Amino acid sequence: VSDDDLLDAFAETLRAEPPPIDAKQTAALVARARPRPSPVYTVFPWAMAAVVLLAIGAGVLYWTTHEDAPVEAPIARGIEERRVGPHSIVSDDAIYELHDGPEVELTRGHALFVIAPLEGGSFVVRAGDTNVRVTGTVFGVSRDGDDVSVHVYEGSVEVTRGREVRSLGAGDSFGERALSRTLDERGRAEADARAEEPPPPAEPPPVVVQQEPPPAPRVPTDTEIRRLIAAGQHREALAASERAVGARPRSSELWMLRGDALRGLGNRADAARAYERAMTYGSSSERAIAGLSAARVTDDPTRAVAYLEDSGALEPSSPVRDAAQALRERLAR
Amino acid sequence: MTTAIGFWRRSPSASVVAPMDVQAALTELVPSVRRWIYRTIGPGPDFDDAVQDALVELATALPRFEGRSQLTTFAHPVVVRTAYRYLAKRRAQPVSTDVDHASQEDDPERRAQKREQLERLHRVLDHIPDKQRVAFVLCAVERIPHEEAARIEGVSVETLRQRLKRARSELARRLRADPELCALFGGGS
Repeated sequence: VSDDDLLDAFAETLRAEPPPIDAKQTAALVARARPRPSPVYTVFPWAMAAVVLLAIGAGVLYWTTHEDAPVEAPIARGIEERRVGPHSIVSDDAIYELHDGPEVELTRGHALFVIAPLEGGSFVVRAGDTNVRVTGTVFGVSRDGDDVSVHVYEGSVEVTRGREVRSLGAGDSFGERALSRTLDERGRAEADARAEEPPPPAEPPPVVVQQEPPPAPRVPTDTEIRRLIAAGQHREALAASERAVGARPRSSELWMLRGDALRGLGNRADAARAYERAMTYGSSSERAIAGLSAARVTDDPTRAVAYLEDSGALEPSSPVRDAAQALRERLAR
Repeated sequence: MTTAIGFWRRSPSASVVAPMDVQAALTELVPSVRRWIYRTIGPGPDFDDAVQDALVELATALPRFEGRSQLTTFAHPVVVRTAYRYLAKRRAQPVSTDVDHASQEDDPERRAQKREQLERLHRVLDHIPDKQRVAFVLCAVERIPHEEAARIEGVSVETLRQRLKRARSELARRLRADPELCALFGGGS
């Protein structure tokens, strides 16, 4: 007997019928077969109500406090570089919060600050009870608990710790803790690069000595300008962007917003120029987006293609590659 | 008595959608459900529980039945899933098969023999993985086409064929290793 015959005979025997039941037993089985309740209805109603209330509470809290909340609360790990308007923060295994002002609160780790010259404003770094106030310089701050040190590579800063106030110039340090090697090398390189730049036309602004910052003129934030554009208030958005550009002339995002405001007002030529500036100052992604925006508003097809190519919008890594390619194909037709 | 007019069955002869009673559908399905469970997990003290559980699952699932297929086509995968649960339970907590799920034989001796034989055959099935067992039951015992069995199991036809092939190979090996069973099916002395 083959395996197939053996298994067929085996299956045939298994093809047995269960012991029969009568109609009464069948009815009893069916009567007991009550559908399981839907999971939605088994959720405790108070839990649902609590979730709704929490959501409402969180919404109210957000809308009432987000203006004063930190703009960003990043947790940096390893080497990270962040642009804050015209300034740069290079951190090494650091945790810091960035607030309006601009003001940085360093919780731990090493951070190098490359601060562009400020006119009237200041840049403050808080590390525990140590405050560093500058108006344009390159310096690093390192913190581990209460062990805080400041190293100045270019310009000068004022350090306050409790009642102690010290002014540090290039090459000076405050505290014993060393800055990480990577940031130290970067700080020296930034200082050298600045030394090669032509001297500024005016005297650099003096170090601010007072502990409390002077009331700086109110500069509209990107969020405020973005809201004005979203509300269709392009004229007000343009005016706000003009004030903000004065304070942060190298902010790619700001020039993008200015371009959006101009485009909203129908001024396509100036909008294209604003996007072009955004390309100049932005990261590779920002350049690609700005290039696509400029190509969309310009009336000159040749120039539009040039914007797409110069900005890297057509590159494989571009976040707007598909849209840029579609636009270039349309322009080619 | 009739409650829960909860699902709709499309009449095959017309495009009219007529409401249908869940309880009537369950009553119609009871024989099939009992047979599928019996052939898949075999006789045992948990047979009635498995049938009742399968009917509860069906009562929950039937409101989603849109009448685009036969009622048994809709119900079979639900029952197989229940059978899987009971097979897994048995593996975790073996149960005695000593239960009088007797057939309607009049002769008590013959009835006992038949029950013993069936239990012995299912013990052979207990030695192969549940997925292979269900594939064997669906295809070899129930004689369901491979495509339909694959749909019931929710797997590709290729996967089902692999399970069936392994099940047949292992079962043949085990049957041949048992001279008594082998002789029963005409495969040896």
